[in-house]
Amino acid sequence: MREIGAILWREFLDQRQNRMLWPVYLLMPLVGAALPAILVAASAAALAQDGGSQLGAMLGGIRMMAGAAGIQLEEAAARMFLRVSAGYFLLLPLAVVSIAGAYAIVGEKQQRSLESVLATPIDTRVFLVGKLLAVLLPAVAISWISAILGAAVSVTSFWLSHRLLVWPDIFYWLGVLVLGPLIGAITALVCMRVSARMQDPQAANQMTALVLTPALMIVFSLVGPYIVLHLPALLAACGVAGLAAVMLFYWVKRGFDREEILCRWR
Amino acid sequence: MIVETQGLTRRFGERIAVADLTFSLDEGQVLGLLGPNGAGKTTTLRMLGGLIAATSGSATVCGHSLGKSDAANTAIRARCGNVPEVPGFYERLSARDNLRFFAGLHRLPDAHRRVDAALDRFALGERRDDRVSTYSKGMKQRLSIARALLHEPQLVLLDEPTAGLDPLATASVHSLIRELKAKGVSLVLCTHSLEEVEALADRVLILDQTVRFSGALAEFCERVEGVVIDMRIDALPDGMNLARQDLSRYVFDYAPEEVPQLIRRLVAAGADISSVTQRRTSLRQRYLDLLGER
Repeated sequence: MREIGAILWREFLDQRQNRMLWPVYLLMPLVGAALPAILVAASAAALAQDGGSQLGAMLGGIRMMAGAAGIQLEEAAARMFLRVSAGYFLLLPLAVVSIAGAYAIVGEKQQRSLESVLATPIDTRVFLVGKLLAVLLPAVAISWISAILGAAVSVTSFWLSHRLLVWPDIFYWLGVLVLGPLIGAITALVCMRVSARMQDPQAANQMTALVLTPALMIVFSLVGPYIVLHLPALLAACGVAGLAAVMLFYWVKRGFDREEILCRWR
Repeated sequence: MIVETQGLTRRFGERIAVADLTFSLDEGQVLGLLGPNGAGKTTTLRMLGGLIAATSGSATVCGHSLGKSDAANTAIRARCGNVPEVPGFYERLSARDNLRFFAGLHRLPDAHRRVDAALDRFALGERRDDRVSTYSKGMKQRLSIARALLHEPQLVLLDEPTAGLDPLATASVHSLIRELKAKGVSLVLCTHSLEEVEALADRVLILDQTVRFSGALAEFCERVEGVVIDMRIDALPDGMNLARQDLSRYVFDYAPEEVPQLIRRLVAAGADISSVTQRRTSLRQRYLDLLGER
């Protein structure tokens, strides 16, 4: 545990010194804070449409929600769009992690610090957990801060415009607090595996950007409509993501060959 | 014995990096590891430090068998200090933060005090809060040695610790090595400097994929290989071990302790001796001769 603490402390110190990360860490929460309010405000416009094909399923879901919960259509629409806005907070950890994760191992190789770290008694598993948390925790923190700010802004703005208090529901919080971090962990682990096999951080970054991000976007587009409308689907998605994260960790550990990394031999 | 190896070999695919390495090192001894570039010196250090496994052979380092289990390798790494050829620090962090990080990886108690004491000992106290990126090469090397000694290892592996350092910095590192040796720490000093080996080492290992020489420094140092006598003599007595003659210069193959008897015989035979010198092979020549024998 103490080694993990040392890795986290060192990584955070390093990230604090890395000015290239500051725009990412500052800008994304601001966007996140505004997005739910914008979408919730757009919900009224969506209701006014005559059920266009793109919104057909969602409008159907809105009417179903209103009926089941015994609430006004405007309130149901606002809640639905809040759920949809949570998609941004699922992608936020992915975006932030893919920047830092690519540098996780290859960055240390590049600055020649990896040999000195591997020369200590630190266990491979502990080292990887420390690296994973160092990459994931800032992304999760940004995502949660954004989500809370976003929720506060949207609740306030909707109250001001409609005199209705519309709180984010369990879909929103499960997505933000559980599924988002798990997606971040999956992204981080894939990035770490790529990073351990590459010699160049830019190449590692490009690999994750070109392969991993589109793959996850495709998955989102397929399962998104279901997890937004059906709680069991969302819970199942959380379960699958959790299992995938655990399996990926052992895949990364198996692929972390100290000798190959140190000796640059394949 | 701190280190004992038997037939240690390391391959990378088809390429043999180190073959059949057999040597030993006692507590408080310094092993000078010499060899040309690509001889397998760094590979040897990495094997001894528990960073990479051997392909075959065996070794015991600090009482643990190398490569037998993860626990054994971890125990070796806990008892070894590593000074790599390139120090490899987190350049954006200060010296103090760098050392605190490594103290954390070693789970050292009272890390803050140890780190501050180490920085003071290596004359880095005044710059402890400066970024390592602002350090000179000599300062980074001192910091690297400080890092290797934080956990008070039994064996220190140094890979060219004085490469690129000025004479003053080099002398400082040499002084430190002597100090560690006096405290009973064993060191493996990988270097290209024969003078450094001569000044510091107790044992010498010359590597060029295979062992070219392994033994005490005294065995390896300047060797007396005969005596050169300038003299005039009508006829040499019988039974003299004459290596060669060049006019009035005679080279005899005798050990140093036999020289007085040799001179008495020559004088008795009527020799008019003008000079007597011992023929020595220098360390450098000996090293080159060994590597030339392929």
